[in-house]
Amino acid sequence: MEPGTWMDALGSDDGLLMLVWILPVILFVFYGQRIQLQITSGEIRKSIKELDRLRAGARAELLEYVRERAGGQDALLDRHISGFAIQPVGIDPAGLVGKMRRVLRSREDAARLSISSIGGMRGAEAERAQTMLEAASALRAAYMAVNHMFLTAKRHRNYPLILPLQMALPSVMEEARALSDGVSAFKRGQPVGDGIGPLVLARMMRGLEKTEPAPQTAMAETEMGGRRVLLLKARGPGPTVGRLDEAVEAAFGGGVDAVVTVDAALRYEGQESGRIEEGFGVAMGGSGTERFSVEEAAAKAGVPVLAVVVRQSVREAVTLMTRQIAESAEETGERVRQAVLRGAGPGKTVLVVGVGNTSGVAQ
Amino acid sequence: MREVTLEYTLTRCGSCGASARRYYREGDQIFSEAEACPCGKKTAVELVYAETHEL
Repeated sequence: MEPGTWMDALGSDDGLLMLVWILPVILFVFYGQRIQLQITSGEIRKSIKELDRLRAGARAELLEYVRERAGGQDALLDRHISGFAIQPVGIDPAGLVGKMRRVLRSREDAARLSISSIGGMRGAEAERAQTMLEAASALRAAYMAVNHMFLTAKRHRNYPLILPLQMALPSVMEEARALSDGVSAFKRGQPVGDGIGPLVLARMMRGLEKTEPAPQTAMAETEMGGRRVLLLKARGPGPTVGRLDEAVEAAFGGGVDAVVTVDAALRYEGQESGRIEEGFGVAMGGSGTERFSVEEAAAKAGVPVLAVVVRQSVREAVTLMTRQIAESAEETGERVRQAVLRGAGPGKTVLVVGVGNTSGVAQ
Repeated sequence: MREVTLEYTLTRCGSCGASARRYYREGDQIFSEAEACPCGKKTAVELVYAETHEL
């Protein structure tokens, strides 16, 4: 064919081929974002449906648990499930941790007061209801946030808006599924993977006299290699993490020469669960306010901070403890003893803190 | 391949030290009192855990 204009080409077979090329290009230039949005939307919509199901399931389990013990309290519980906590202003970071702690404690206290005002539940039962309430509230918050981001992107037909959601969704779903599965363990008062710290400490303080230095905590005193050792954990067997920061501050008032924390820690991909690792610093999850208090107390006193952790997945941390994690308790206890001996010399005081949810673990 | 997760309770006798494993029962908690040991003394719950088996 002689070279000619594109109009000539359109009238031939080559022109048809050119159209096959050009049309998708034009389509993608003008409608690419919308097409991508449609494809991604299908996947995200499925996840949102699942999140809604998990949220509704956790709520139903809580309502049923309370109904069996104290009659229908659906309206009151729904009010707490949909409750929110406003993060303090971070423009001026001075004193931020104290403000955060106040907000979190206010919310926690209000939930506890409400549960106890219902009546019919006491001690561990009330703590179980409170933990289930927290799980239901967290699942609702995840559902609302994901749904909001998705609908906003759809309304504005804005594909870039959906990208961060698409990236974060696998982790959000993993945590949501884990939390949903965990509700059953908390409801039945079973030990969860996160309870490995309290379990190790419970075994160490078995048979010793206990005190309660701060709400929902238990402390015992023993001796190891000539060192005075203070053992601290959340008071079980209710599913609580206790106010360990307040108990640690109280312990520092009497003089502490080293701190050893024992906690569950997220394992890396490819790493086996139940693996024990040692390091330095304060092993303490949560909002960070409690860890801040312990770090502050240790820094002021100028004492070493040692940590022993047991690796596990997000799911393992909130569901019934697996055999690998449970059987690591003995070896973890031995590592803690070695850390105590390393942390301070004879005649000194070492504070050992078992961090985590003490569901199903008495002392 | 199907996986099934079973719940177990490990009990130990405070007197003779004998340990036994059985299926988890509602109410089992670490250190809670469990069934009597063949030696006649009481046992206590030592561990509660889940184990996944492949079928």
